[in-house]
Amino acid sequence: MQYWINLWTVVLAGGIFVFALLAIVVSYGGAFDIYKLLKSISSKRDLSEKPHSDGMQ
Amino acid sequence: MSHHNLELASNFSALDWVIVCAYLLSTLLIGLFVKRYVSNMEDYVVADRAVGSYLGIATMIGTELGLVTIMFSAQKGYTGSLAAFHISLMAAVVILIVGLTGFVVVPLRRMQVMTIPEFYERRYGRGVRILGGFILVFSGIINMGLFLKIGSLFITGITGMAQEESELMLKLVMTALLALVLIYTILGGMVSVVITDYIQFIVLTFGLLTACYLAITSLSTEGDIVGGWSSIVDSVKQTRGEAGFNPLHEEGFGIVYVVWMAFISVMHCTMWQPTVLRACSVESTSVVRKMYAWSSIGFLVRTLIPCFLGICTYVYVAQTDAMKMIFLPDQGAVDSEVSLIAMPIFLSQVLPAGIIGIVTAGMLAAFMSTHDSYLLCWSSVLTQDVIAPLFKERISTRKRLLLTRLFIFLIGLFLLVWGLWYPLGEQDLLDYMIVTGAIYGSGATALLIPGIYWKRGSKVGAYLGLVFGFSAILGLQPLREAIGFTWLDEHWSEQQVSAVVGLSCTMSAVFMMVLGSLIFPDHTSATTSVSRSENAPKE
Repeated sequence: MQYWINLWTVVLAGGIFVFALLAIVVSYGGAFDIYKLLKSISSKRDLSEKPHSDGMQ
Repeated sequence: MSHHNLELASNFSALDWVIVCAYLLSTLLIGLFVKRYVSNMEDYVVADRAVGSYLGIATMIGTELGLVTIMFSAQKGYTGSLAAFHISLMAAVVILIVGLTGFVVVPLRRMQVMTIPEFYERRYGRGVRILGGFILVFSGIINMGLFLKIGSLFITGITGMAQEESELMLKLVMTALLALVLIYTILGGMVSVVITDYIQFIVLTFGLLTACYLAITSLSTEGDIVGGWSSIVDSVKQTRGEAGFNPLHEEGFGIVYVVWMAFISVMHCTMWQPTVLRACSVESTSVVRKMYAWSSIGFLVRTLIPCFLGICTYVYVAQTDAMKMIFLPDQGAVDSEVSLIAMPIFLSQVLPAGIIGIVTAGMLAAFMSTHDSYLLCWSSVLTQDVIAPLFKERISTRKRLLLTRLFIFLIGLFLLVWGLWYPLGEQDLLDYMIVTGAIYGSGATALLIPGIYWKRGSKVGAYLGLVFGFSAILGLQPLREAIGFTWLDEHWSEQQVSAVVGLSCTMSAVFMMVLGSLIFPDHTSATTSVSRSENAPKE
């Protein structure tokens, strides 16, 4: 039984610690990803609208 | 004695309501803001396949760490103690292996499919896509059928409403919440989902970690972490013995259940449509691998932390006479609904005002995060894989968007009826979720893996695999009782029966797929998927 107690102690402590670290890294990097995502969609939309408006002229 | 008679005041205050409302309002505004970035089906469903690694991880964890996951994991921790941690460990190891090897998910991303049934069509034909789409949507909608019920149990438990019999008020709150989810999912699609998932990830992470700290210290007489942990171990030793720690112990989970959990983990991260949709949304196959490997931490923690909160609840209940009479009676087992509401009531006792608002906002975030992703997922599968193939793809992009939004609304209405008025009964929530998922997953296992890695898989084999996989519905206890199929229940516990049924159905689906393919091979070479993936541009 002691084996299982030790295993779950390590899994819980390690899991929480690594998750806290990951949360910090992902929060920071994710903000930049959102900026890139919106920029990419915007520029793609601008490109697809341009030929259409040229045609109209 | 019911939990409605519990005379314990919740710490939930006016300040906490302000925090929760401010959060919900800001989420709605984000949905409206992001609407202007959506112009076509790809933007709407897979965010133009431009989601980066960090955002991919946040949104994957945001989707997977739902309120329902938190509730069923807490219930497992409450009823199964530390042995329930094996579910978390198994999920983490499996997704790490999938991330490192790219098993199933990398070929799917390479093929640039948006849904699993789309893969079915490329590999086996249109008919298989339509049948597979129906089964997937049926399984998915029933699977999320209890979300509102579980959300309502959490809200009533943590705010103290559970002790006031205010059922009508509760239904109104849940209806309002659903309306909020519907508005921003319908308006923004996947772009809004990934951004709100990101914010929800941050709020929820903070909320859960704080809750863990306060929960464990509340169990120690000296208010420290080590004392709290010792109290948990001693309490579980005294009441559950080895079965409280060893998942293989037959008085607890048992080996069949552990094997089933390992299999479910594979199914969940490689075939479950909402998870696969994430893999298909990212910018390259290398990001898929990275996202899966890193998400293993999220998959470990998504059930580990709530499970731990459930264990803390169990120890707290055992130490509190007023709660012990209701949640741990000396004779007979408690109803599933009662053990589900124990964790939120425990949190309402140990978290201080202000913090409880942030935790509730985080939990509601989790509730909405899963809801929006699942609504978007099932509605897009209905549009892309059932309606569009039925009309031989002659539906314009604009009509598809409209249909997807209409289905989101209709599924939302269904959930309101099913979730609020369907009785949960005695079946354990996790087992209900797994069984409903396996209705699709058993057949998907039989079609996907051979479809990608075995050239001889045929259309007839695929139909047989889907039909036999659907038989996993027998894992639902009310259905077994209705048709008199109860002899398994005489030999095993409820959770072991669901494992036995699930494993048997999956094995029979795979067997029938192989047998059908060997006896009735396709006349034309069915290697579309392989050739497509090989011809795909290098990333």
